[in-house]
Amino acid sequence: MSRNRPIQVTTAVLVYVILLFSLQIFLLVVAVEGFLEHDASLAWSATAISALLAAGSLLFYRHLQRG
Amino acid sequence: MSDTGHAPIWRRDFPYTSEGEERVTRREFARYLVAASVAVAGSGGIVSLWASLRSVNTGVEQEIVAIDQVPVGGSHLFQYPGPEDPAILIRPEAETVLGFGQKCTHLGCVVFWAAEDKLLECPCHEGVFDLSGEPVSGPPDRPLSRIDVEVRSGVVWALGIGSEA
Repeated sequence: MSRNRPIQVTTAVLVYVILLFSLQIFLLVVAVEGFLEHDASLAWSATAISALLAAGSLLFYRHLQRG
Repeated sequence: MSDTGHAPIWRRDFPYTSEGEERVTRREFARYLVAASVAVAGSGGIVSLWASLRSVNTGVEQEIVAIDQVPVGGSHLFQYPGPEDPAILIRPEAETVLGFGQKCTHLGCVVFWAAEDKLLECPCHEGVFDLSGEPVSGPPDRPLSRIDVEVRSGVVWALGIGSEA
């Protein structure tokens, strides 16, 4: 079944993961900015959102594996 | 897949293949990307933890200079909060003294007091800060660190690093 899975699905998931990863890079920059400004709460907020995005990427990948 | 009729010339000349050569799949790429995603989130966690745990030297009360040694419209350089932290005291008006960390928030060059413009200027990349320490122009986007100062019996004292400029 997975062999017949349309390649577009894989590509779509990949695009989502790339998008989430790009956002994570931005959030890492925000966390570093918080570090430089001695604002730990900003750094933690950015990290929390980044962790959510990482979890999202993981879910997308698991969806791909199950397919 | 065994369509050798359309194989490129280089493949005929160099008919060496490795197992899985043709299968650098999107799934493989997605897996590495997800691993990188988790790594980036982990890096953010380390940065945040570091930001939370590091101690910031906010300084102790310290005598800087007698107020009459700083001319009105002039400045005085000193070190605060540590002996290797350049700082600048400015006296834009007779009754006003202001203290700032002298490191530009762009790349750490020392700023100087431009008395004629009443601005703090960084010579490296032409960053400019106003009397509240806020960036006015140039590449810096964060304010200078503010040092709380007070005049006591004709002497200027540094009280500590201000919470914000």
